[in-house]
Amino acid sequence: MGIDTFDGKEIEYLQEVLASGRLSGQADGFKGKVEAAFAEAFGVKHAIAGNAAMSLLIASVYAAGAGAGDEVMCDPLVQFHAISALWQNARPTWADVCADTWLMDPESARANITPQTKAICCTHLWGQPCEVDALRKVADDAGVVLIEDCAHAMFLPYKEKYVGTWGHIGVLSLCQGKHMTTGDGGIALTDDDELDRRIRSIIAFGESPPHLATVFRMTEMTAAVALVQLEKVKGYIEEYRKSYGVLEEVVSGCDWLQSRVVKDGCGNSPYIFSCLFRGDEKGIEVEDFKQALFETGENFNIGFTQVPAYKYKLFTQPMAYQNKGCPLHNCPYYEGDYEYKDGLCPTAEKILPRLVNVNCMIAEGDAKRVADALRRAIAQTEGE
Amino acid sequence: MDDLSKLSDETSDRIMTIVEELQPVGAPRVREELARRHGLEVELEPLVRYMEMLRSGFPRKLAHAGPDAWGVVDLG
Repeated sequence: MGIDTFDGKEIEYLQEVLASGRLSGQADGFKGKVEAAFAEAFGVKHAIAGNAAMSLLIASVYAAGAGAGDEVMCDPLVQFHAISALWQNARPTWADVCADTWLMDPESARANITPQTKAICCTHLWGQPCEVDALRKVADDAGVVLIEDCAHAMFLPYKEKYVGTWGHIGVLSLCQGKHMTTGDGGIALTDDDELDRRIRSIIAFGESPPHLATVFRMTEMTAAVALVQLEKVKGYIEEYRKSYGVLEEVVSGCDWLQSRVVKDGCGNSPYIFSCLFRGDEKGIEVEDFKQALFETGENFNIGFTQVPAYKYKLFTQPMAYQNKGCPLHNCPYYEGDYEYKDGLCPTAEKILPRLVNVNCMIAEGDAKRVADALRRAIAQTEGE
Repeated sequence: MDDLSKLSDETSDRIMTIVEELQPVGAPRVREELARRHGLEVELEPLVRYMEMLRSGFPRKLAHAGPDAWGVVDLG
């Protein structure tokens, strides 16, 4: 759990919503206010409030023009964009990640562009920024939409501005456990009037929708809480940066754990602290380290999802739509030849089982306790 | 109370089997089943921490299946 508190104006605003009797998202209510506040805070023309980041990713894939027969390029370390693509009957493809940052490699993205590609979805995984200027150039050169998944990356600086504002669309998450939370919720950012219109057109509709729309809008209660939390979140992130530093100090002193590189111009909005196990190169067994980490009593994890998302059964088997095969296995509209197979993203396949993760959205004092636990686990493993 | 401070293959297999049979399942139900099937009396917090570490398994592993719910994934 983070250090976030809800002891400010949240109750006052929630009472105001309930007293108004207008609980559904209102353009002239808290939903409108929170959209304006996010747009101003990030320096973008439009902010769109939704009920979840996933909903807004699905809407963003639609806004990018992706549908049956099209490809959406995804990050193999997480599955969210690929699932969003499936919701639009589009086919996920994959760009590999960089070996030192574990973030989408712009060169791999460029190499995987095809005539079917409609969008690239990158993730600022665990609070570190992709080379999003390079990815934007890849997208612009190919005439496709760059969607930034900023679920782990609230107010994350990259060069002169925040991530979420480099691509055509940026999507922030307000779900439980994120930098700021409203329980569930999301915000899409864009400077593009047409993308704004297209996203809004499928997250709410009236009696005769012009295309397949649904209700993904944010409620007034959620927006009321978001408006207050937005004022607090930079303070939370500052604390998490201190916590990250405490943990990083331990890893930098261990010659078989590889730190995650933070490149020049890249900020850090810590979410999960992550490093890479390389003990096998020094005769250290990962199972010994796992046992030692577990015995510390802290919540470390080794291997994250173990395999890239393209190896999940959701993508390898025809199960997305009632086992009928669509859209990955027998789509009559698909004219490409992209194959799902081992080795699509060799760097992702190599690093995933070796990732050592622990939550770093904690107070600095708690981070010192976790850091001590990590030191003990390292010492115990080396002594075995 | 039984001790869950160390990882063991036997305990891990028992938990995986329960989750696989009942998924999606919450940790309190897993705790009940450990007691009912194996006579293991454990507290909820260490059980959840143990289950979190079983997310690190391969090819069979535990996985989150929504808030407070767990499932088994076979990546083989």
